Amino acid sequence: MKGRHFILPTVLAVALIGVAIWGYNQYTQKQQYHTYVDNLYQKSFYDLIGSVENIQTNLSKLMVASSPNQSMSTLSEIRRHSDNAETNLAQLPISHLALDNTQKYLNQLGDYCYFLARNTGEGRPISQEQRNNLLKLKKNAAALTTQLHQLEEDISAKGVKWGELRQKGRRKMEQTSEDIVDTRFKDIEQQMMEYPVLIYDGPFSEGIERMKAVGLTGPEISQEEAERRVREFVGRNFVGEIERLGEGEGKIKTWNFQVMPRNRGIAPYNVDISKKGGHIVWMISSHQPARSNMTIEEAVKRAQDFLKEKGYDNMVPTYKQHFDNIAVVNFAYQQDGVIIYPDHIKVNVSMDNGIILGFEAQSYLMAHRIRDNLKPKLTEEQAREFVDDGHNITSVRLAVIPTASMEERLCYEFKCTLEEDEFFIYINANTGKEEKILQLLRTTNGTLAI
Amino acid sequence: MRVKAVILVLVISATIFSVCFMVNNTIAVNDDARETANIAWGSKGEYVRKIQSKLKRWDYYDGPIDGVFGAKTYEAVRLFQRKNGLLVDGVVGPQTAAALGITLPGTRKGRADAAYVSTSGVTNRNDINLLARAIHGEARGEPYIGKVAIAAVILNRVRHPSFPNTIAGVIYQPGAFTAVADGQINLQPDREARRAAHDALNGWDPSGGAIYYYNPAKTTNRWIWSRVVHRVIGKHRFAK
Repeated sequence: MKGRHFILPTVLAVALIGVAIWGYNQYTQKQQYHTYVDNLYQKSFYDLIGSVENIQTNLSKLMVASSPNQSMSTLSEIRRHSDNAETNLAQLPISHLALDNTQKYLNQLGDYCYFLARNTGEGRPISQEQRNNLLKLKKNAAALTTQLHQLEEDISAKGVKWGELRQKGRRKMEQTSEDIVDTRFKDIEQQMMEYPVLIYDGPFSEGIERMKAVGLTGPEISQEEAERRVREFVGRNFVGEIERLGEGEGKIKTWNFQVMPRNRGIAPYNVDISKKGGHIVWMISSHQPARSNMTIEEAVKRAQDFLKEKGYDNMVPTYKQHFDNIAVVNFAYQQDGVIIYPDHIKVNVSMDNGIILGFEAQSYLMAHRIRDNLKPKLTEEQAREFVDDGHNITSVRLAVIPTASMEERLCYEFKCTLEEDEFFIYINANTGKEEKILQLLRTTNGTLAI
Repeated sequence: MRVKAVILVLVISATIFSVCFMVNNTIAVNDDARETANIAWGSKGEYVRKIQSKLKRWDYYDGPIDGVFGAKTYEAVRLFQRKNGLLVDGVVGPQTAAALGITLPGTRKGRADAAYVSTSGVTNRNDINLLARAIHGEARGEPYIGKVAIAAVILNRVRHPSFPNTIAGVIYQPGAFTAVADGQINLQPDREARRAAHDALNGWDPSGGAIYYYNPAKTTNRWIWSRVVHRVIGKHRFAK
């Protein structure tokens, strides 16, 4: 009996020590993770500062460079550093809403310099207007450098921890960290709002945002008329019920519908139809075919018949793939024997019973029109001179391809092979310029063009 | 078992993006070039343009850079040849071209690439997997087009100058997606999420070109309410 009253306290004491050790371990582990995360953020931040400084010095060098070679290497450096700055900026724990303009600035700067480097390589040196743009962009880089240096000082002076910004401040110190960084980035955003509108041949050009849908022809239609056309498109006998879902904004304004097929075994279809002209923009069903009963070629045929039936003549299949018993066939418009890649439509076909599960014509509606300049200045033989004949050319055809900024170029499309690899080489049919190279990667499910 | 990830045909429109980031490789001129196409009076096109712009920059030529080899270009080429100790014939052959620092069409002919190794292991399976996981984490229980729309927003951001330029960059941007912050993105995506990833990569965009979406019942961000709503699908508003 004696000594029994020691057992409980002893057990508790041991447990307490155990918990304390466990807790301390947890705590040190947590601190280690915090430090690790903080270090990653610090690295991004310092890389960002370094890149922005390099952008500025390279922009200065560019202004005094006299040879095309020097300009090109300086422009490539700016592009490299702006890419790096953008990547690191996007990794900092700051709301992306507070970085909108700064990210746009860095992306467009890199993109613009890449465009200028390509021009220089083609014998078109930087024009006076482009120099003026670069000077204005340099002003932004200078402002950004100053602000980042001040932020760096604040951070080391006041002990701001990047990791703490991640969890929205609950304690006082976190609150200050957040304030310091937020205020600084708000100032940066203000300064980044002012720089020239850049329109050039590149994916981030302002020109792309301003594009209009030229394929949208015809008058505005009412919701009733839209419903009638949707019923017609999906198929009168196929449709059970149609539900009106309202309207959609965007580059193409739409009426939206949900279609319940008469056959209850098929998942509903969603269909968007343009208000202007009543063109079907896209249609999709999540129906999952259970098996494949046809070859990909049969599915392509099925998709092509569907397009013909809906009045899309002159569409030729360009790429195809299949996955999970669904074939996806890409068609491009053909005018006077020339493939017009910008006008493309995609069709999903169930490889079970051949019903159409999807249709997508947004790009077609953005770009489609009758082209009036499809006569090449170079003959096929002349264009061939621009292709290395170490490659084995297997086929040639004329094609209109989109550039990075969605302009169009008439090209000879040479399909070539090099060892096992296949390529499309696009030679401008008027100037002989090598506009683009795509590599085709064949896989069991279809072809990948990169 | 999950259906194996499948590979996608990226159509021209989708590939422009990646292609425009590729830097053209400069190809070295081989010593044993067998035949070359000379550029002379009457030639036209890109190469004439190159020659003209070079000559103009070095003050041999003062005519227009129009890609047409005419009398003025001929005189300029002769002047260049005389000044540079080349055979003065007014024809841009291999020597003159080299002195001008340009590569003529055909000089690359017969290039032997004995060391060329075929490409292997390049797929876009990683894009599909990542997109499918983002869809699964963000939009489980939403209608199918709501799932496609979320993947489309991610792709619209990749193409937008104010956001990172890769799918991973957009998805893992701090604070951008709640499913990333709370780890739901690491759940195994279902068949429908994969299907939606495919459809979005193939160009279907039910969001109407949106770059934001939010659940009005959950969001605490007041700023987001000021954006133009393009479309409402299920619980989400898609905005720009």
